[in-house]
Amino acid sequence: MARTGRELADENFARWQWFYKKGMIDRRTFVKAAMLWAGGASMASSLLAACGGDDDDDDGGGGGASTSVSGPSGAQPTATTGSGPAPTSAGAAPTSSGGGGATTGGTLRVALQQSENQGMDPHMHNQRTGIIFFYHTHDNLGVRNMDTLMIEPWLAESWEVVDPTTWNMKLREGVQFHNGDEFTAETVKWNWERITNPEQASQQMGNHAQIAGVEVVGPYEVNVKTKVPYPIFTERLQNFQMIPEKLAVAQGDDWLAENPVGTGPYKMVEWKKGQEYVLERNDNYWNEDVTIAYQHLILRTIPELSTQLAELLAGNLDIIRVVPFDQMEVVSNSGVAMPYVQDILRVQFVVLDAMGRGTPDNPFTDVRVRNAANHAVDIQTYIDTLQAGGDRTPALVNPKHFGFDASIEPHEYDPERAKALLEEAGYGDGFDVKWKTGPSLMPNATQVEQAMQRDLAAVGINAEFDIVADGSVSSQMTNEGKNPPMASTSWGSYSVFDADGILWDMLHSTSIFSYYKNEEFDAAIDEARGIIEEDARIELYSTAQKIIREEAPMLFMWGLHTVWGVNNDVDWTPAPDEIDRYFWASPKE
Amino acid sequence: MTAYIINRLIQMVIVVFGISVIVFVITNMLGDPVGVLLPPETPYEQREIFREQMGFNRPLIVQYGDFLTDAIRGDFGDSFRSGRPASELVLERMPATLTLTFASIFLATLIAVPMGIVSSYKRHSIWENLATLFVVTGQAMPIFWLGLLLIIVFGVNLKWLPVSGYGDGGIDRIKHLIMPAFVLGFFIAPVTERLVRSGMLEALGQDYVRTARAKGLAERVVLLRHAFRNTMIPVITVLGLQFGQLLGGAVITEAVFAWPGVGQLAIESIRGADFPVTQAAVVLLAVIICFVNLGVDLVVGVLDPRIRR
Repeated sequence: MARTGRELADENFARWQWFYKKGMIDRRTFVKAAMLWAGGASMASSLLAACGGDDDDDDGGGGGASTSVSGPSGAQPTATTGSGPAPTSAGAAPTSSGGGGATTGGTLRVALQQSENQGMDPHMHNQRTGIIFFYHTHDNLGVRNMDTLMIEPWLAESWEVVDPTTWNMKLREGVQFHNGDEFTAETVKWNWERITNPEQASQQMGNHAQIAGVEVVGPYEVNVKTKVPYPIFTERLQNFQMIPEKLAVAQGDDWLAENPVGTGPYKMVEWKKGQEYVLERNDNYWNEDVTIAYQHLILRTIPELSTQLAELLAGNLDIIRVVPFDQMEVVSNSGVAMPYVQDILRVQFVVLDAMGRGTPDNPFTDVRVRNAANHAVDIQTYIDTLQAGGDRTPALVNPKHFGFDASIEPHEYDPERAKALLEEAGYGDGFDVKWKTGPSLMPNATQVEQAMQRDLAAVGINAEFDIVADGSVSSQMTNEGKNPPMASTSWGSYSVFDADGILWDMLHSTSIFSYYKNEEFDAAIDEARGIIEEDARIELYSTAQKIIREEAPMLFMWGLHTVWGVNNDVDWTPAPDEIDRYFWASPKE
Repeated sequence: MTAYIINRLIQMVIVVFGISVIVFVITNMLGDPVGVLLPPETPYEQREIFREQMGFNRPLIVQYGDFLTDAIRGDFGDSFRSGRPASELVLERMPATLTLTFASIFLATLIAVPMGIVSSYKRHSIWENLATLFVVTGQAMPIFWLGLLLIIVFGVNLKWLPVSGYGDGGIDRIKHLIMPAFVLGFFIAPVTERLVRSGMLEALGQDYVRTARAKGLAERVVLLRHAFRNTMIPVITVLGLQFGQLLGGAVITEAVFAWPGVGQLAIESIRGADFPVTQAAVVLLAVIICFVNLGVDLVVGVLDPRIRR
């Protein structure tokens, strides 16, 4: 690899600085470039981000992944449906199956919660499970380095920004698609033209809305033109899979919807509709640094998490993504698998309609009532008893966000004080209120919310659940200001590890998600958004968080920890960007 | 008989038409598919282009007209999500659902009929009490819970049966089918058992049964040929009606056992605002339910000539 992602980013940031000095780009664009460069970089796929905002995250808490090693090397992938002997020993003597750094045979079995009815065309879906799948059959121009969290060249060899709206990209030579077609500059041009073509109506079109065009400079070199200076260009590369243009043109979209042909570490050999995909190792994988341990990868569709758990415990699956907290001990004691806790950036909270946006003059428009609600709930106990862990967020910001102010104390659990505050606000006799809730990414969400409901009732806040079964409807209500006075929400910050990623989107008075308005707060985060100096930004975010802590426009909860279950025979770690890479897995020694 | 069938077919058309209106209106009330199909950050103009492309900006009645004219030809449009024809997506899942449904009817009948006969014949015995216990349990236990219970016992602990999935055909498929079919069958068996029992009790008190016995016929013949034959009519009618219920129950059973049927597909398409697939699934299931009930009525007609008139 010519240069690392870090080096490329340094070079390119130097250029953005120069552009800014020359007045070629505006301040905001420069800040964006700086934020990426500073490694407060947004993390995770643009698409992941796209579906990672609200509770309606398509992922629904997890394309639970589960894998298992079965049988000796070269085991038939069909021996997977659980009737076979329970796999107890990690598969297999090493086979010398040619290139790609392949080392062993065996089969890795993974379960996805959603079935594949979005099809096999990587440009025509918006599902988390789809992203995970296409990371195995296809490749991207750039991918995230898990240590630096920077986007590094992958199918590209390097890139540089030559002027504010032009990116020059050199491509890797000698990469072949599964069908033998070669990956070239034409491929890149065709793929971008396809995804940005309105007639194609790709669900990912919005991710590439800033792309003006691609010109082929040489057989392995392109210039990508953007409509505006676009510092987060590289972020868009890591979930944009390349498909072979000649084959695609010859076969058409209907064929592509059934046949995933990429350059990825695995090829699909069979698709049992609604049941499973059978993938086989691509022994000619271009990247020799990647060791693909398992010869077969099977992705099963198991919508029900309890069933996934049962399959894990029966030894038929090795990794599941959502282990309910109360089952962690079961998994630990099973002798078959172990739970792994992974903390994530997503923050859970209950929006209180402080602005009166959905319900004018609701009790929460009074700051005392909002604080009373926060004092009424025993957050730490919920974390200790109902969660696999959680990071307190006294002012909404996750400790993982840049700008988190650790000096701010969370609301104490103090029902007496809550009652006093309610009394003061004129609600001594309590009040009734609606609380919108629905599909949640939080483990044990129902139990947590019921516990909160009970604690709130103890001080006189009688919340009645208004359950919205559909995530998209829930999200629509939020965006359009139709939420009742209380609404459960979680926010993944579009995977931007910066306080801006949550404070602005959730609370700035002009954000479509916001049910709060405070000019002083708006001013602070607007200013922090427009400057680069870290100390000054920390200062501003501290001010902003203090305001939020006092004003309590939410029922503050915590940053989520999610639990994975991994079979004891498999060596595998989840990726921090929540895109499972099963080609990382290997049998335990 | 022909007039009867034609009459029934016309009724069916009206029923299916009604269902198509209902499902069309409901799916369109579920939310804006553009919001679901595009990432939230998609600019407004792009959304509008997409909306126009998909034809969502037209009046609902016009959209319904198009839907109906195409649907009559078996074309429910292409899935918003996969781009594949919705009817194709549904039809490729249909065999799994029908296998499960018929297997569970078969199992339910296999359990319920003998039980009903025995409990009517041996009244106030331990057998009748056991049958009553069975009925109460079957009615009280949610499908979901029973499914998980069976999975834990037979799949995880004893490892006798596969936990979930569809199997690879043949014996493997049957192994995978046993638990879901039992769970679903358990759900309808009690009703059948009660019907058989009460029907048998009534029949056994009739004059023709006494006559049959007086003729010196073997008790087995009296029970099965004389009494049970008359009991079958309500039982078969109710099985026809239960078929619809079963398809509903199949949605849950399919989810628990990862059975790749229409129910699972329908749930996913509802959640994903994939109208064409939801519509195709509901309408096609409705057509099947109608046909099954027509078939049931014809069978009953054969069993009881009075009904044909």
